[in-house]
This record gives sequence, structure tokens and C-alpha cells, in this order.
Amino acid sequence: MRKLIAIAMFVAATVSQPAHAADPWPTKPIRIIVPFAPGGTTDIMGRLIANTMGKNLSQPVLVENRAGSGGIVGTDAMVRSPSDGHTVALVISSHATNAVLQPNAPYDPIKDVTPVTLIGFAPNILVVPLSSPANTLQEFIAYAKANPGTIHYGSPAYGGSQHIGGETLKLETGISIEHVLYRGSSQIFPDLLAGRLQTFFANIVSGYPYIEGKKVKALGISSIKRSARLPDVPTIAEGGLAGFNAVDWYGILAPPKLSPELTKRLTEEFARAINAPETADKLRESGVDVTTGTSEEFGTFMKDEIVKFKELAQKVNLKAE
Amino acid sequence: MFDVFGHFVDGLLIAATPMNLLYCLIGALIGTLIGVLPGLGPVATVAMLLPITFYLPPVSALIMLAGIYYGAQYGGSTTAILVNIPGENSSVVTCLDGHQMARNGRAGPALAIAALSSLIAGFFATFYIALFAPPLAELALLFGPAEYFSLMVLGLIAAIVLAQGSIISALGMIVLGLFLSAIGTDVNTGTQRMTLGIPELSDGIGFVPLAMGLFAIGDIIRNLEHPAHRVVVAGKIQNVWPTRDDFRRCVGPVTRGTVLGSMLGILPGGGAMLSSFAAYALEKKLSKEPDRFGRGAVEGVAAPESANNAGAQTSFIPLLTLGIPANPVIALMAGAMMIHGIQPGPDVMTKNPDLFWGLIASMLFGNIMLVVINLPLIQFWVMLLKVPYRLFYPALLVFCCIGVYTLNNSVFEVALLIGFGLLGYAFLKLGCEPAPLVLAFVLGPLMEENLRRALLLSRGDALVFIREPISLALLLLAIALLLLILLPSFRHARGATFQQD
Amino acid sequence: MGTAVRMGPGYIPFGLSFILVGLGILSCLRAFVVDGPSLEAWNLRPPIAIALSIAFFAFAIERLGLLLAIFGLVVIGSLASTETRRWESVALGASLALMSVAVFVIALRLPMQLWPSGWF
Repeated sequence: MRKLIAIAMFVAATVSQPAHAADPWPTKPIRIIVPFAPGGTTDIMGRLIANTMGKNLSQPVLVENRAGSGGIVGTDAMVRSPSDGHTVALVISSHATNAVLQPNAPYDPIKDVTPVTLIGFAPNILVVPLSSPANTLQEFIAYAKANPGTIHYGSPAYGGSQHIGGETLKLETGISIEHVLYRGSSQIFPDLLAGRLQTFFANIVSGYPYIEGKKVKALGISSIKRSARLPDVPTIAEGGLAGFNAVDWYGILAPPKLSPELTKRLTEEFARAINAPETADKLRESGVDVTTGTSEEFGTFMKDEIVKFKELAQKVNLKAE
Repeated sequence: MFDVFGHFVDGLLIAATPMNLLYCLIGALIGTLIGVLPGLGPVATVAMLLPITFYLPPVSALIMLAGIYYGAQYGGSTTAILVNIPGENSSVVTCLDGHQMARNGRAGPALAIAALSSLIAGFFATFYIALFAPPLAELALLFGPAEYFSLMVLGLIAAIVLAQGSIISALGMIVLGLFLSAIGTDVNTGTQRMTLGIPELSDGIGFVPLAMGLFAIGDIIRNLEHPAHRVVVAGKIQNVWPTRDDFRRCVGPVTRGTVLGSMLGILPGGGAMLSSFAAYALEKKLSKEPDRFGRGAVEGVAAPESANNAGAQTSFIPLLTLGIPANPVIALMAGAMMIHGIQPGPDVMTKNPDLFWGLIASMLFGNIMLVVINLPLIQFWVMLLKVPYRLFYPALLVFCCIGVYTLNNSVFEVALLIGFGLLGYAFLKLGCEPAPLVLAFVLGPLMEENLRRALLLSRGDALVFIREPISLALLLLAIALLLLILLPSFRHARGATFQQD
Repeated sequence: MGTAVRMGPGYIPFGLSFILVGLGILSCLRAFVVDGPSLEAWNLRPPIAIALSIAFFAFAIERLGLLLAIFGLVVIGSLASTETRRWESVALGASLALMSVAVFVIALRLPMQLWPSGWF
């Protein structure tokens, strides 16, 4: 069946012109390592990009899933691959949080990678069941203050942006709500819809259908700006918590010491594939705020994220293992 | 009701267009193929195929992906019966009696019964989804952590029934399975447990190396040790088609298996997974000759196969009505829908009726195609078994190794395969059956997660399990089943039951 | 560890290990009361050969490539059986290696290395 894909890619590749025919890259199929299981948001994103990129270049672009340890296993496989531009990894925010939560990781999240480009951001939305008495963020805070200890919030990953969002909310408002960890968002929704769970920060990708279908109430979005996908949902900052920002990000990393020329080439090609309408439209439709940039920008961004997370982890007492 | 009928006819017309029939056939073929090849499971296949579905209309894409999903269930039972390789947790149960049938020279009837039971279950499940999808979705929401915990307790008690030997050994295997399943990252706190610092273990032991090692590799070593044990097939392959007696025995099991599978399939938190185990345990308890189970009873193939297929199909209900994917393959299909701009969830039925009804109706055609593909293949499979074992088993080793490796591109999992292979061999020698271990291994994480989650949500009130009516009913059922299992062995404590042959 | 209400990560594994020890003791005690069938003699050749063959595959797949990994797996694995002739196992190893390449690399396009890196 991969053959079918290859044929599709081959046909597409012969139609489109390769941009830099003289360059010696790529000389063989390109691997995008997705350090998560097949079927997740990250996996689907990787396959969308790989598909467009395979058409742009005259080489197949293959997605390889190497799940484990919150992304460490797959990222490590990328770090140890040759720095020839044929292996990259699609990482998410956990790349930065792992630096704090998993100090024993076999690689350094900054020194042992070459940043290629950011892909974009996905905000989280604070949702409550229809049966909840709260209709706005302020009502929710008042409700939580009146009923301390009775409200639980869910999150799909320890130290993930949804967990951080919940802890930040606690920190900034002084409400006492308790964290319940689930294995993925799809486990959380049944409990939320039935009212057994009182609230959680839903990733926009998985939460959008429920918000749009009016099965849950959206109290606020965790990004600085409102999302184009859900323009009616106010930001949490608008709800009174200035500067509130807890979003997921996605990016492409290559092995360490990639030559500047190849890095530039990779950044260009990935940006081209990500911003192509057939990829970008799909990503935006699912709620991702597509934002590509240079390798340097991405590197600085990651460093900032790690510093920010270190501070936060101390404040809210997230423990390293 | 007439409304449903009208929609269903519309759906049939959509599914019956030549293009959609073709994609349904492609899906069924690919599904059968990957089901037969161990390792490369439906998740990896659907993930690989996702990009080409961008170019198809959404209905055709989903029809094809769904075909792969239930086609893989068909194919998986083929390897389970022929060579004792369970590629997925649902085929573990099929290994028990299906492979014994093959050893008795009845691989043909076993395969035919598996295919026909799946077909009947598939038909029933299709109509069941069409008629009852929306109300059933509401039912699925009634299951919270407390209910799931009690359901898993019931499942574990049923696991004892899977074994034939002593109850103490079976209990030991169950506890060992639970123990092995606790390895990995603790879901409530994110702490690593018993991983010995190995990053590959942080997500726990993989199901495939565990099940393949315990069943297939253990079995290979055992066969080689005693060439005489290996009654396998070669000489005494009887007729390929099941006898009239086989059919007569299967009527009850298929009916009950289908009902059970359809009921459990709607529960997204692991219901479909339980269904084949539950159906097998039920038949063994109801049977007048429970001793035949585990030795090649045709009921032991019919019941789990029908439950499994009914469960696989009804697990679409939570996706199409609530937007909640029941397993990773269905999660991928949700991804495919999103790529096409269709939000899986409560609105699919009203906003995209063509997709909803077309997909459901295609399952009818898909099931028929699968039987048409699979019945003629039986001749071929049975012929394969005539290859001398000394040439046959190295090929099995190759399939197991490549299958385990390609699943996650992990050498570590291949190493696990060695460990579990030797363990499986030792278990076989000592008369401990691996099936309860595997079931406990699958249920363990769900049970612990739901237990702890239920206690967290109830703020530490353990009475939540008997206060919730559904949970209470399930626990009472579990106690009743436990008594039913223990009573006869108390009665004959010094008698024949403990004797293992 | 934690309490029953607020279970720590170690609570359940700890409890399980106690139950397992208990069952083990019970199982041993029962052995004095009930006569089971006698154990068969152990024949170490098959388990050792099969374990070694898979270990070779695990070692070779990312170092020597698919072809050699499978060839070695089959040849070493064939030692488990006393019936296999030497030339048979070599021929079988070669043909299974080629077949796997055809099925998994060419038909299914799984990204796998065929030869030791640096050979071609």
C-alpha cells in the first residue's frame, strides 16, 4: 500500500518542478520521525506535511513512528541519525517540558538538535459541561471559590500544556481545583459530557467539534489572541487573567551539527510544504495557528520555553522524575 | 423507524456505487492481508494510507479505512488458527480452540466457522447500529470510571474461566499479568514504575511481543522439543468444510456472541476488547461439556469470532454519535474525517447523513466480500500446513521477528519477544495457561486507572462502586460468577477437577 | 506508596506482589496434597537455539541489514530441530530473506536497511 503512495508521489513529482535541481539534497527518501503513536494529532500533522513535501521534492517523504517516554525515544532516534538532512523529527511542546520533567533524557534538548522551523501553535480552551452553573470564566472562578475542593479538572498528559494551564489557573486565581490525569483527550470527553468531571483545558483540535456542536460550554481560550477558528470564545486574558498563555507548539528538528546550507534548505522546504494551501488549510481547519520561521527564531523560542517552564514548574510544584 | 429505513436505503445506494464498492473491496483485501501478516497491524496501515485518502471523496475514504479495520479482524483470526500467532488482543481467544482444531486436522472447518460467524455478527451489528445508534450513545455516557472498574473486575473473574487447569495457577497467571501491565509510566502521577531506567519500558511492555512470545514462540519451542507432540495437521487433514454437527453446535454461541459483542462494543473505554474473552467464558460456562474447550471445540471459535466482529463494528457508535474514538484505528478514522473537514461527533448524522449511512451500509457489503475472499483461501491455507515443520517453523520465526520489529521499529521489543518466548515455553511445560495472563495484562492498566480515577473524582469515597447502580450490578455479577467457578472445585476438592492430564 | 484513597504509583504493584507470593506458597503447598502428572524431561536444544536466533536478529537488523539478519535467524533457528539438514537451512535462509525483502521492503515499502551500512 505504501507503493500506492509512492506512485501517487511519483506522479505528482514528475508534474511539479524541483526547485533546486542542482543541489545534492535530497539523494534518498526523507524520514520524519514522529515520536508519538500513529493516529494522534502529531502523527496526522506529520503525514500532511510529508505528503506535500514528497510532491515538492522528487523524493518520497516517509513518516516513522517511534513512540515512548513522552517523545524522548523518538527524539533520541533522530538525534543519533546522520546529520545529512534526510532525517528530522516532528516535536511538540513536550520537547521543552521534558528538559525539566525528564532530566535523565539521553540528549540535550538544545545542544543536541538543529532547529529547522516552527510549524505552529494550538491553543487550549477551558470547557465545562452544559450542566455546569458557570457560563463565563468569572462565574467559574466564583463557583470554584464557593465550592473549594469539589472541582476536578482533567488533562491528557503530565506536564502538558493542558495540565500547565490548569495549574496556572489555580496559581493566578487562588481557586482550589484538583488535577485528574487521563490517557488522552478522548478519554476525558465522556466524563466531561456526563458531568462527572467539572472542567478541563481541551486542545482546540479535539475540542472544536464539541464546542461548535454546543455539547460543552467554552469559557476561555488559553492563547494571547482569540483563535480565528473560534472567534466568539474570549481569551482567558480578557476574562481577567492578563498575560495568560498556555498553548501547544509543534516544530521540526534535525540532528546536531547540520551544515548551515542544509539547514537553510530544510527550513525552506519545510516552510514551503507547511504553508502550501493543501497543508496549511487543513491545519488551520483543525485549529492550528500555522507559524513558520527561521532556524534561529525556533532555537531562541525553544530556549525561552525551557526557561519559562522551569520557573513555572517550581512555582506550581511539578516534579521531575 | 421508517425514517431510519429510508436513510438506510439511501446509505445502501451510496455504498453500492461502483467506486465505493471498489474501495470497500480494496479495504477488505488490504485488511485481510495485514491481518494475516503478523505485526503490521491496522493502526500502522491506516496511518500509512491516510495521505492517499486526501484524494478520495470522504465517504469512499472512510469506507476503505473501515474495510481495513474489520478486514484485519478476519485476517487476524487466520494466523491465530493456523499458527497460534495472535496479532491483536481479540485473536488471543481464537488461538485457544482454533489452533487446537488445526492440530486435530480441522483447520478448514475452524477457518470456515470463523469466517461465517463473523459474517453473521457483522450483518446483525450493521442493522443494530442503524436502528439504535443515538440512544446507545447516551448509554455509553453512563459508564464512568466506577462502572469501567467494575466491568474490568468482572472481566478478570471471567479470565479464570479461560484456563482449564488448577484455579490457583490461573489466579497466579492473572496476578502476574496485572503485575506486568503495571510496568511503565504511572498514568496518575507520570512516575516511572519498574522500568529499570530503560526508556523503551516507559510506555510499558508492548502487547504484540508479549502475546506473540507467550503463544507463538513458546509453541514453536514446545513443538520442536517433542516431535511426537506435534500432531500438527500434516497427515490427517480432514474435510475443509464444517460438518452438520459443527453448524448445529455453533447456532447458540454465535447468537450469544453477537449480542454480547454488540453490547460491549459501544463502550469506548475497552468494551470491544473484552467482548471476545467474555463470549468465550460465557460459552464455556454454559456448555454441558466444558472439558472440550481448549481442546478444539468449535464453539470456542464461533463465539469469540462473532463477538469480536460485532464489537469491532459497534465501536463506531461512540465515534459517529459522540465523537469519541474507541481505539487507535478509529481515532485515525476520526483524523481522516477531520482532514476532509467533517468534524466527527454529534453532528455527523444530521450534517453528513450520506457519510453516516453510506459508511454503515458499506459494512454489509464489506462483510460479504470478506467471506467471498476468505472462503476460497481456506484451501490454500490448509495446503500451507502440509509443509514439513522443519521448514515451516523458521518462516514463522521470520514473520514474528519482522512483525514485532516493524511495529515500532524497536529492537528492544524483539528482545522482549525472546524473554516471553522462553517464558511461554516454560508455562506450557508447567501446565500454566498464558491466556488469563494476557487478558489480565490487557485489562490491568484500565482497571487501575479507572479505580484511581473513580476514587479521585469521588474524593476518596470507596462506596462509589456500590452506590452507582450499574457498577453495583456488575460487581454482583462478578461475585456470582466467582461463586459459580469456585463451588464445583470446592465440592470436588479432593476429586477429579484438580487433576491435570 | 500512598493510602487506599490516595494511591501512590507503587500501591497496586506492591499489593500484587504480595498476592503473587501468597499464590505461589499456596501452589507449593497444594503440590504436597494433590498428585499432578510428572514433569517431562527438559530438552535444552530448542529453547537455546530459538532464543539465540531471535537475539541474532535483534542484533543484526539495524547493524547488518534485513537480508543478513533473516538469513542468520533462519540458519541459527534451524539448529533447534534435529531433522533439518545443513544445506536445507542455508537454502531456506536465503529464500526467506529474499521473500521478506519482496514482501516488506518492495511491496509494503517499510523503511528498512537491506545491507550493512556502507556496503552500497
